[in-house]
Amino acid sequence: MNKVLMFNYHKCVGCKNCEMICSLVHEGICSPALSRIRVAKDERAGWNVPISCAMCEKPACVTVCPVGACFRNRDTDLVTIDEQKCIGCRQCVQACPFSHVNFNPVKKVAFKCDQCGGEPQCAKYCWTGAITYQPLEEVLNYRRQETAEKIASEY
Amino acid sequence: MKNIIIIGNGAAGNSAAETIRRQNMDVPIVMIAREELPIYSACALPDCLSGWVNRNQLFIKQMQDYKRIGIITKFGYEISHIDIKQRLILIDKETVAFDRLILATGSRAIIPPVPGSNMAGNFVVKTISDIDQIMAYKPHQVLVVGSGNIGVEVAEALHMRGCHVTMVEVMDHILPRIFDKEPARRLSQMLLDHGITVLTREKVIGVSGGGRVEGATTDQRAINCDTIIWAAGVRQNVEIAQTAGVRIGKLGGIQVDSHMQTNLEGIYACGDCIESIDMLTGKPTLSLLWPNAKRQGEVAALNCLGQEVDYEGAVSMVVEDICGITAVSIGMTSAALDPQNTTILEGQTPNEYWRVLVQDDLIMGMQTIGITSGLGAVMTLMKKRTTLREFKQTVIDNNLIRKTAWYLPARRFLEV
Repeated sequence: MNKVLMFNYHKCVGCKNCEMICSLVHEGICSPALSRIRVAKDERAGWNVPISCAMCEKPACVTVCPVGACFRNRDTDLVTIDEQKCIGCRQCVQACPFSHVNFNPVKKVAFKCDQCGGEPQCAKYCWTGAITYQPLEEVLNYRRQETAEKIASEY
Repeated sequence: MKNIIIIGNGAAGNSAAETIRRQNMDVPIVMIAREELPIYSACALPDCLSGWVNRNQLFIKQMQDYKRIGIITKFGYEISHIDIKQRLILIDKETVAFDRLILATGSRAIIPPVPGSNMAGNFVVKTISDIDQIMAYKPHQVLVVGSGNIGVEVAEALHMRGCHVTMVEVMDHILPRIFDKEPARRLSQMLLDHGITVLTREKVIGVSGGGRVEGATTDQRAINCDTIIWAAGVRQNVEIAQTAGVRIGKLGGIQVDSHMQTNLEGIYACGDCIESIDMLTGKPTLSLLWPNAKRQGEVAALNCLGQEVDYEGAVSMVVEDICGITAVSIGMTSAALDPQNTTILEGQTPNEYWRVLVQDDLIMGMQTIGITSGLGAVMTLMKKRTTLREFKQTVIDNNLIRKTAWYLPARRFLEV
């Protein structure tokens, strides 16, 4: 996993374009309920946070899956759900701390972000620049800088 | 290291084998098991019984998958003796030497010694052959004894197959180990509305019939049935280990330390056959759940290879699909907690019900009906031992909450 999805919640305006494009490329329809990525928002407080798969090091969804349908793909290093193997028990849906894994009520299987096979469409169509697909090192640099600035501003 | 032997081909055994392979490509691994089948999902057996999942879908690996990662399989063998001093295992007159041993022998379903319970028509649901036998028997009127997860799932599965199902539970309410009385009452009402008869506080005392099951008697009535499914609990498979000198705990499982090592050097145990520590209370527990077995297998394997990894403790999460409604139980029930110090945060909407158990400002358990998402956040807060005070402080802080937006789904359950 050389590149990761980065979410900059300072830039997100909550337009939910990403949800539309995600469900469109994966399921063929624009339906936020079938989108992998979701935007959490609090309109009164005025903030928007896109949430997608964190590709955890110790993924809860993989641990709980009773049929081995949810696994870490050794080639791509991504946490993946095999739709053919999934029996729709919803264990992973409940176990994910980010509520990222969702359930398709028509197909009766769980689904999650697959980073569109290396070209995430949410990042491509995000017009605010809140979602970017970047090398891991760049993301870490950004986060490091952000934390450092925060600490510095407190003095 | 010469070689590692794993006894058992279930969740724990396979997780151990895969973990060893990920760390070390060369060490020989021998896996010994009783069943001549590749690993299958025991959790999905009731789903197979109902017809929701087909039989092939149960198998997680094929036989060639073992070969591919270099695991020598000896399936279909009974172990007659483990010689600790010589480090040998005797299987059907053949001996295999080991350097390190991982016991993942699992558990077996028990049939209580009730008169008539050895007749044709008495079944348990534990292995794939049990399912095959039940299907071949073609049940019509079924009595399910015990209302744990397996009992409820099997009752519903057979009901979906068109059987007339009655469920008997000896305790106060159904699902006694994972739900409190109030949610259990709601669940049993759902089963009743669905057409499954639920009888609580009743004990089956006899099975009648001439060669085949024709009925059963409880301490209150006689029930007509042609099939009885015993879902009255399991016992740990510890006999071989016990004769070899492995120490057994009070609850009946193999005693292990936090490295999953038994009292004997170089002999590890994981999965259903052990007594592990509960993550929340720190007390010994029999966890018997798939995810816990997998994690224990990983810990045993890493320690077996010499990496010191501590097991963080077992935590339970059970997701049930009852009559199309999702019911979830996380952590402990009130019965397992001290009632004086426990606060219950309860709530409901027309289609949902939830309760969170709080002790010393920490989340100790949660039970829900009809809620399909957001529980992962509560579970993570519980595992991280985040206090409710800390949680509330984070949620009201506009800056903090944006950084921990995953807290949000938990908000409606934890705010009072």
